[in-house]
Amino acid sequence: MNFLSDFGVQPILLAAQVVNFFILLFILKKFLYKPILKVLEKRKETIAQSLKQAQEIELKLAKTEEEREKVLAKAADEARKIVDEAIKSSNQLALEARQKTQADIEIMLKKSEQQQRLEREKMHQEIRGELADLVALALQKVTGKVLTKKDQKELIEKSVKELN
Amino acid sequence: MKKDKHLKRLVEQAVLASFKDGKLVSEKVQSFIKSFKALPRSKAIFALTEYSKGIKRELDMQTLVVESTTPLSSDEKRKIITKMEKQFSILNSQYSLNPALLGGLRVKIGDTVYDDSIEARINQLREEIRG
Repeated sequence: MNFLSDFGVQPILLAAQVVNFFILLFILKKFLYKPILKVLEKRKETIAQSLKQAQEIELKLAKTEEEREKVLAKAADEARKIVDEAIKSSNQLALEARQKTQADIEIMLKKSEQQQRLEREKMHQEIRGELADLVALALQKVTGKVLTKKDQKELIEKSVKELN
Repeated sequence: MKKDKHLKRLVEQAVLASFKDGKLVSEKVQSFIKSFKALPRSKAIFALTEYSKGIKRELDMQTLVVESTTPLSSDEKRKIITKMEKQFSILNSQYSLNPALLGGLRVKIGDTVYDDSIEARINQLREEIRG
């Protein structure tokens, strides 16, 4: 006991302080620590939930991004197909147009040849006609001058003989 | 129109009946003319017109028309008529000069023409050259 009094410790005071301490501890525990711990616990739960939600959102985001990429890829593929089809169709149209033009040109050439042939024939016909008229005219003029009365008589006699 | 067709047929028969052995019988002609005159005015005009056309046509069918460049002798005329009478009945003959023939003869009776003239031969040559 002298040991404790040498250090200024008073046992009753110490006991009282210990009791006070335990009373304070009890009071603090009941009215302070528990609510605060509850709050802290609740806060911890909230944070955990938030973290969980954030993770879920991140996952959903990643999934959405993945789907978006898929859709874009599909759209790009479709677009490429459409472009290819369009190129193919336009090539086909160009080919058909070329073929049609060629066929039209051939028809026109044939018609032109036919027309030229007809014109040539018409010209030949006209030349023959004019030649025939010239020959007939020349013969008429020559015959009128060349035939004598004797020739005329002989012709008539010949015609009468051949009359049948 | 139907009555005109009927009358026309009658007139054609009258025309044929006016000839005997290829010769025109004047009594029959007079008789037909009298009958046609007895018809109503418009029909009478039609009948007489058609009858005269028919008679002329028949006479032309029996009229020999000869064209030549120089006058024909009697012998030549006789020969022509003799030859033509083998195929046709000839009532009349006409002879005319046609220098356009250039030479030879053209003999016509009805719708039949024998053209042995130089002009015909020149025309034939012309057509052959034409092609």
